[in-house]
Order: sequence, then C-alpha cells, then structure tokens
Amino acid sequence: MKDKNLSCLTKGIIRENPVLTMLLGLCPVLGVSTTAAGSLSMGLTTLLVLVCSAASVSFLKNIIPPRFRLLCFLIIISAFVSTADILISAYLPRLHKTLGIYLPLIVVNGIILNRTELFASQNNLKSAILDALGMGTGFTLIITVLGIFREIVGAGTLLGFRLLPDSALILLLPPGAFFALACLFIVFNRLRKVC
Amino acid sequence: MKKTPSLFYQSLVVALIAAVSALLISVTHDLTDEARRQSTYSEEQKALKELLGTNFDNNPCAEKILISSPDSEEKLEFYPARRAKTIKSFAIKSYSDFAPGGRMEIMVGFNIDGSIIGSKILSAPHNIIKPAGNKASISSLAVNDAVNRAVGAYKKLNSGGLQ
Repeated sequence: MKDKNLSCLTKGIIRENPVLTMLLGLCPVLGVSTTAAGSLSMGLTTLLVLVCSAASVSFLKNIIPPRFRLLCFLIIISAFVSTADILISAYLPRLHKTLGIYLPLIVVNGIILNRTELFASQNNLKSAILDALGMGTGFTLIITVLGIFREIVGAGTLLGFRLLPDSALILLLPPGAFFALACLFIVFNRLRKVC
Repeated sequence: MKKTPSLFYQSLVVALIAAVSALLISVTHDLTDEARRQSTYSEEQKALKELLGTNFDNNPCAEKILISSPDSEEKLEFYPARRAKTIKSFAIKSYSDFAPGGRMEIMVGFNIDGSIIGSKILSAPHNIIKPAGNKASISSLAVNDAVNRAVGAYKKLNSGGLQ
C-alpha cells in the first residue's frame, strides 16, 4: 500500500513525466520558460490548480454525471484557475504581468484535464492528490529547468544576476524554446535509460 | 444493470457545481478587491514619479479627473501635478487597441506647455513584449496611437483652459 502511494507520487516526476512522455502542457512550457523565476511561478501555480482540481474531482466522482463529466471537470478547473488568477493579480501584480495570458490558459492545460479525467475521477482522494502532486512536480521541474537554461544561455543571467558576459538571444525567442526543449529530451531519454 | 440518473438530476448536479464555482470566484474577488485597488494605485504613483519627478506637492492620484478622448466616447484619466496649488506638469493615462493581443495602457507625462516629458507602459498584452522585457520591442504602432490619443485629449482640454 505504501509502495502504491509512493509510486503515485513519484511516477510523474521522471518515469511518466507529463511533458516529456506525453507532450502535455507544451504551450506554457515553451511560452513562459524565458526566465527561471517566471517558469517556477508558472509551475507552482499549475501544481496548485492541478492538486485542487484533482482533489475536487475525486471527492465528487460519485455524483458527477458521466454524460456531463468533461463539462463538470472544466467548470471545476476554471474555478480554481480564476481564483488563482484573482489572488495573483491582487497580491503579486508583477508576477501576474509576467505570466500574462498563460495564467488563464492553465484552464486548457492538457495535464490537468488528463489527470482529472484519467486518474482523479477513478481513484480515491488520497491517490488523486498524490498523483496530482507528482505530475505537478514533474511539470514544475521541466519548466523550471528549461527556464534556468534559457535565462542563462539566452540572457546571460540567473534570477537577475549576471553570470555570462555574452548571451545567445535566440534562446529567448520561440525557435530557441524548441531547441532548448530538444536538448532536454536528449538528457531525459539518457536519464530514463539509467533509471 | 446500473440505472442512469434522470436528465433533471444530471442538470441539477452540473448547475450546483457551477454555482459553487461561481461562489468561490466571487468571494475571492470580493476579499481581494482592496489589495487589487492598492496595487493599481501604487503602480500609478510609481509611473507618475518616474515621469513627473518630484516637482509637485500634491497627490496627483487623489486629484485625478476624467477627460474626453479626442476620438471616442471613452474617458481618459488626467493627473495634475501641482506646486503651491499651480499645475506645473501633468500626466494622462491613455490606451491603444492596436497592440496585438489586446489593450495596452500607457501613462504620458507633459510639461505645462504641452511638450511631452515621456511615457511609461502600464500594461500590455503579454505577446507584444519580448521575453527579455526589452521596452523597444513593444509595438511602436500601439505606443504612437496611445501617445497621440493623450496629446489629442490634452489639446481638447486645453481649448477650454487648464486650471
């Protein structure tokens, strides 16, 4: 039982990482990962929404009508995203500006709908929360690593501190995001063989 | 065989979930209203200080008035910066809908003779700012449009005499 819980929590971090194995949530990964701080914030917000949505769906799974389940999931996810959006705009306005349109777009993040539909709606509350935590951590890990890489190589800084005298600006542009993600895929595939 | 619930029951559940979700959003919105107002206020204060310096002894935000836009029904905000009760400079909060992705808001600072001191972007759609946050990358068409609107509003106001 303990092993099952542990597996629920850890599978999303490397083994079944939603970004690198299912290519889910690529829009924010490519769009927001220009700075380490922005990436981490996006990852944590998504993690929070994912955990709350998965917990709610698991809790309500017996009363949600199967015919309208996707509609219910989207209403629940939208409610948590809107709440996060309002809270961030009130208490962290600078972060709200940095995340921009990608914050409300969490509603259509494939990872959240995927985990609520495939896992949370069929499992108990504890497993749903652990799965959401693991998947959210996996997403946060990838977007943050990408953000750190792109900020260092693309801007020559990390968290605003200058590390490199020169930088390759292409890494901060959309083609650079794909290039950085490809590099991450190479590292991840090697890592998965070792694990 | 499991009995399928009636359409009425299914609709009721969906409506209940929607109602609880709406309640959560509205409660959060109401609870954070003051904090949001404060953050907008401090952002305006910061922009005014950057544009108009410290050559005023009033609170332009407290004295802001709404003025007519030169080309639409929409009102613009006018912030007078006074020293010894006389307007020394002022700022106008303008906007442009030419920014790709939505509305851009800009604060334009003016000397009392109508010459522009500078401008500061208050909000812009995310996709018109380069990732590095380079200000030069903001759509120049949108900035021009917003500044022109502020100038037009000033001219319209000035025809009635600034006090």
